[in-house]
Amino acid sequence: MTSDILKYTWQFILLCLFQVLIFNNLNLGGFLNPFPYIYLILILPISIGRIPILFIGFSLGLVVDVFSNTGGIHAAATTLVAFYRPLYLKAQAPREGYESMALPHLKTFGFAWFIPYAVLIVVLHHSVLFYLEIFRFVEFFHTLLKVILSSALTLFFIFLAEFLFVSNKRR
Amino acid sequence: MKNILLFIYRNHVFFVFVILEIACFSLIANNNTFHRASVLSSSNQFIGRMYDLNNEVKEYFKLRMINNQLAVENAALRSMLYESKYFSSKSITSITDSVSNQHYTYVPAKVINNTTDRRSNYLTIDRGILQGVQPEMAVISSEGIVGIVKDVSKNFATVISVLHKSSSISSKVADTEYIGSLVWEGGDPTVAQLKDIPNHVQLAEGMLIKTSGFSAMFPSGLNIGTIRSFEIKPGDNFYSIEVKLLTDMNSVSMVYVVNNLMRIEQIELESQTEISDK
Repeated sequence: MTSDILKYTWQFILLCLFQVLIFNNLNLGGFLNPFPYIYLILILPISIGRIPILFIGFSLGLVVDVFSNTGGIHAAATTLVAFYRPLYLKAQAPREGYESMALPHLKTFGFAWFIPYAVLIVVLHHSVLFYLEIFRFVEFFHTLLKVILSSALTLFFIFLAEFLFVSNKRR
Repeated sequence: MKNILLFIYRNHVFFVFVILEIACFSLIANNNTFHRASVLSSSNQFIGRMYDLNNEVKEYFKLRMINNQLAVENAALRSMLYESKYFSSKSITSITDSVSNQHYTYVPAKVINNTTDRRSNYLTIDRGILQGVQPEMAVISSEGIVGIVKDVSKNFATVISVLHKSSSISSKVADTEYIGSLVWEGGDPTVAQLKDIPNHVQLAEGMLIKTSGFSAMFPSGLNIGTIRSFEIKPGDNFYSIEVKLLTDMNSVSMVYVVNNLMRIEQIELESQTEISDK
């Protein structure tokens, strides 16, 4: 349990650093702003409580906000995602329930389960983020294109991480 | 009360979520002036509209005062303009020549007031006694004649325009040496009438009219205008000639006051002759 906390704290810091130092500085033509730090919300244990995940999401977004000078838009988006994730997992739960220590990884649950899960979370997060950033509906379709393209890139990085860093062994 | 607490406890995740989101949005609103403006404008729209209405009514009653303030400010700004400055230096151009004596000197002046729509029109120029302007001096522009100085003060002078009912300028049809007098019968400020040209003179439209130099005011040979039309009225020995003035009296701004250095001598001699004739 303590080692888990250490592990996720380390991932928290690592993802924030990657986001702030590398991905925020990617300049890919204005439409591509990937936010792979949201990966942390995806991979938290299924058994985590709803209140802890809310606070983790809030603080994750807040850290990114502080370093990107964006006020609270990342925190708003991550908090919403952190609120939504348990609802989704509950709705998608297998009949016999999740294994007690199950982790929501690609290799644990397979493509058919992981792809809709990741896409839904990432697109929800990016939509909230970009529409809050614009804060008006005048550039609705412009922003929508931004959401779609950036989500695709974020998902690419998430799948890359899933293939590279997640070991095959089940926990 | 118990039920409320129970309700909150059952939905405590949602309430925590809402509180966190509120925190996020307050951060957003505090961070970004654009967001702040948007949030404030939508939440305070009603109050803002009330303020607007109140202000509109108040402003209406203040219009007279505001007008006065603006007029005063305009006047202050206008007085700072280059055009408002009065240059008191005596900028008189004169040429000293040992062979030919100076006959005319010129004082450059600026028209500061002008009318053309009356029967008797006057101009005001910004040169007066201190700059060597005297009554009955001629005023010309670079294109043609303008008028004759009437009254002078220290720094200003009024000019009887060519467009004046008593203006009569001795002029001649160029190349013919026939003398007439140029008058203005009112109406079109671009056209004057030339009288006393005998009907045997060959005229053509476009012929140049110049000053004769007989008047002791205007030097001879200054351009006045061109013949626009001419006719001989039945039983008349003289032409009725319409002259298109070269000086646009509506827009004239820079003029020269002509100082005839021998004018007094000429006038004295002429008056002596007239007296001895009687």
